[in-house]
Amino acid sequence: MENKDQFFEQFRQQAEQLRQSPRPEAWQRIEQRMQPKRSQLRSVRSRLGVSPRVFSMAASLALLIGLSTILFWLGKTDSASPGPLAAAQTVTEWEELPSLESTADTPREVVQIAVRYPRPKVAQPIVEGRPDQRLVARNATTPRRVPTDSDSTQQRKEGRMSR
Amino acid sequence: MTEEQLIAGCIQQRPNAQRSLYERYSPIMMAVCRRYLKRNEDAEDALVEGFCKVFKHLGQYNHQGSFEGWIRRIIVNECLMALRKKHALKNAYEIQEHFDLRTDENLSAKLAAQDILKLLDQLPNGYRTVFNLYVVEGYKHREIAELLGISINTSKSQLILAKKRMQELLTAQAQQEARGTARASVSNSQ
Repeated sequence: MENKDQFFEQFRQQAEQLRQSPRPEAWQRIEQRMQPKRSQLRSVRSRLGVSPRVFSMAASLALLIGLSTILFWLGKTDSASPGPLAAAQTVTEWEELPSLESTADTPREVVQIAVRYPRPKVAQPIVEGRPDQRLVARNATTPRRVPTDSDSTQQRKEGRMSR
Repeated sequence: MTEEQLIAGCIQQRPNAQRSLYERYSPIMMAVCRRYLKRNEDAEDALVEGFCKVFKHLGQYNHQGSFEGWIRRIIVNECLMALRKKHALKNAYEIQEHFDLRTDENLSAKLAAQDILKLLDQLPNGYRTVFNLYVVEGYKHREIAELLGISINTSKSQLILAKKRMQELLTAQAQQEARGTARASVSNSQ
């Protein structure tokens, strides 16, 4: 029994001295497992030697300055000079188109057609009415009689008869 | 950096402290993994898993007992989980026969650290797991039985068989060495 224990003790002592270095990839795997973004942020903090609160305050201040700079720049470009897209679309050459009525060289027929078709009137917005109002033609000299239900049935009958 | 400073740094998730802790204990723990698992790749997987758990649960370390022992327990558990996943501990069985377990003192005295892995690699998973847990980690048969989900007698049987196999291997190794020295002496005399 004593002999057996001696063997075990010898084995245990030798096993305690055993060392084996893992491959460098093992540490990389551990780093990847431990939330890479947070660890990167912490490494920046540790390099700078700044406490987390001061770090977050500085980050928010930088963000505020950045945003205000962008907004200021946008406002400035709107008022003063056009942006690159607008500059690309800016008119570089004007072409004068002759008026139909004014020029002497314009053929007569064209002028006549142009006069026949005057410019259309600009459409006016429709005025909202009330639900109890009736639709009446404005330009009629004599007021039109608005057909009732009975009249409409009579007219329909007459129409059928005339056909 | 002292051990206390390392632990405090790791709890604060400082990368430098985590790296230092890893560099200090990884060679020891890799050797632990290698004693339980034959393949280097499997041992490294267990090491990675184990260290991730160490960093995650470091706040739970209550500073009672050695820190290395605390890490070692986590790493050993990872190795046992890896063995269970592979169903490597299923074939453990009880023995009825008795063996002469006396070891030649000269054999055990010659045992070197480098021989440990060679010997363990030639044992079946059940033998080497029980042998490691009993001899190196110092667990009792009752604890081993609970850990591995086997009976106490099976744990004892596995230990006896492991030792018997080791005796055979050491004897064979000693005989080989004796033959080698005899040949060398003959060639020198000629």
